[in-house]
Amino acid sequence: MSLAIQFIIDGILIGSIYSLLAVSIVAVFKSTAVFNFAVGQMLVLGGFFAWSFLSWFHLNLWVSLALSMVASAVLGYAVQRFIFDRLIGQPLFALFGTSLALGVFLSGIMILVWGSISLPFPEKLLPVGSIALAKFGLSKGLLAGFAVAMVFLVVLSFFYYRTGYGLEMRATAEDHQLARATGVRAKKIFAMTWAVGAVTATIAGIILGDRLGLTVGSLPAVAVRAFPAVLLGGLESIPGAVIGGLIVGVTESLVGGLISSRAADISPFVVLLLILLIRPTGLFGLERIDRI
Amino acid sequence: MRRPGGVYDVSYSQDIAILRTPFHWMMVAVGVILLFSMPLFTSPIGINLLNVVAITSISATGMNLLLGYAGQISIGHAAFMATGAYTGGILVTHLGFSFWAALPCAGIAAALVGIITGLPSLRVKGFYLAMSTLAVQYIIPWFIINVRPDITGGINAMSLPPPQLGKFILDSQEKWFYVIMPLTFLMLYFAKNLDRTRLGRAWVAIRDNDLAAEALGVNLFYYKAQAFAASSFYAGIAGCIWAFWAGAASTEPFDLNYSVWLLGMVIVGGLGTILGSVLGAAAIVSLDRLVLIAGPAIEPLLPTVTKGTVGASLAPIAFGTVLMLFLIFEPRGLAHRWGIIRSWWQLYPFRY
Repeated sequence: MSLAIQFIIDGILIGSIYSLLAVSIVAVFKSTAVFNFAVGQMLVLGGFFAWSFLSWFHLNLWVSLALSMVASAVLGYAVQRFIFDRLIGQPLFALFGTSLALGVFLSGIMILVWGSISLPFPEKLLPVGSIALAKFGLSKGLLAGFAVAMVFLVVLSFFYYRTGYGLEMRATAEDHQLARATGVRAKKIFAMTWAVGAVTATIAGIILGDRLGLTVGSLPAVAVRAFPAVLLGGLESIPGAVIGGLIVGVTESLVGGLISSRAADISPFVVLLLILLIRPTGLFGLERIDRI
Repeated sequence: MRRPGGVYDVSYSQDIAILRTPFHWMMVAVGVILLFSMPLFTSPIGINLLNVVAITSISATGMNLLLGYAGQISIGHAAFMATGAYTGGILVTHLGFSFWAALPCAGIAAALVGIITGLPSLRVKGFYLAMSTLAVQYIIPWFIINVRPDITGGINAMSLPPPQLGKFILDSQEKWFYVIMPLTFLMLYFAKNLDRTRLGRAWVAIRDNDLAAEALGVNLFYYKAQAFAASSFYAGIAGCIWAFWAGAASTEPFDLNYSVWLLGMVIVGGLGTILGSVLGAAAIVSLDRLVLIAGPAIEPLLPTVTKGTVGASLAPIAFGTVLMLFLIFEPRGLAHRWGIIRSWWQLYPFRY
């Protein structure tokens, strides 16, 4: 039993990364109706930005982290401005195909610039070792990652609910036309949402890159596990994305610990299939009603 | 289909014919003769390229049946190819089937997996359905590798004997060429006709507006399941041919990335046309080969940091760029462009 609780704790800590990625996807999907398949590549790219500021330009750690977020925000902004702005009103497959193509394109760029071998950060960003709490061991790195993720999510919700831009973003997500009628510049808000999504992915990328090393080969596959989290929480709900991420993390950790480590690899996708068959709208998603 | 002025149908059989005029027949005959004499004046690399394009056309056609005709997005097509490859491989190596008996079985096995993948279409559609294909893309290779590694070889590739045709053993690219090309023609011809039956029209109705189609009496679930079955059947056949042609079945080439490439091929080629699948497969495969050649050539022009990584990076960059450009500027693909050129040629010097 205590073993299971240990796995649940680990799962929640790891799941916070999936939560971050799921929030990134949901934020973009809510306002622009584009499902960002490139989130895995954006995550690695954000990590590479931080890595480059640290090891190429030898900047201070905090300056590098701040600059990497600025760089990825610019990237997200550019993605909307130069690519998705031209596809407004296009059918689903076009948006779908473009975000897949963007992912392939970004991974090519990353192989060109940073190569395809795994790059560790020059110094460990998150603490190592573990602390004992009652009978359970908590990895300091995972705990710090969890804390960073949660703090960032609080900051993000503050941005969404307490600032003018956040209000405009929520209004645009609710209804494009109504928002535009009240003077919100929808295209600008779309681009800002992409920037927010890219920054969120970058945070996850830095945490993951610190733990696993940055590589184009395997890190995007971690991000793919955030997709079940998104559907589990419901495509339209940001709190749902957070909870979905944690549930996927716990599932993966429990299956890995109690059944087999190989089964853990596909457990998120089995969850995904089950959600689609049982409750396609997820926990907090909206029931879609279509009219002819 | 547009025809030159003065050519009219006088019977129903003419009306439904694919090749309508003697000129069509002549062009096809010349094309076929040229194609089949290719090995006489092409290098082995060229024949290899043609084989890859032909096999890829089969699976791209399957993708097109699903995405271009029925309007259902799939990013798990490569997993169906893997199913076909391993079904064929197991039947031949463990159960003693001949390649020719295993080939349709591989298609049918993939079709069954496709129907299971399409099951969520009973409740969900569009984007959600695509997610179920994503799940399948991860689950199937996992099953192949982990469930019975004693049969499938686990993460190691499963080596396959070259099949026999009469007393010929298919052990060279040229011999394969004469097997792959007729098979491809057969599959494309079948798909072309499928699109003109009730089934094909029902798919198009679902693609254009599923609610309206349902109101008109099209059973959505039944036809979507058939779309998945037909699409995966094509993928299974292509996967099986691929595995025997390459001499080994492995899950490695059939990853998520390859599914995305197949999706890109049908979008670049043209959705909803059989010609588009072939053009898309040819364009993307050639692009892939071209950047392999271009890689070493442009490497000296780039900063030293990138030494040795140019070759691996050009293919995804080129593919991503081409796919995005097509989606933004020519979402109807090369087939549409070809149609424009053809009607310009027929109508010249008039505009329309």
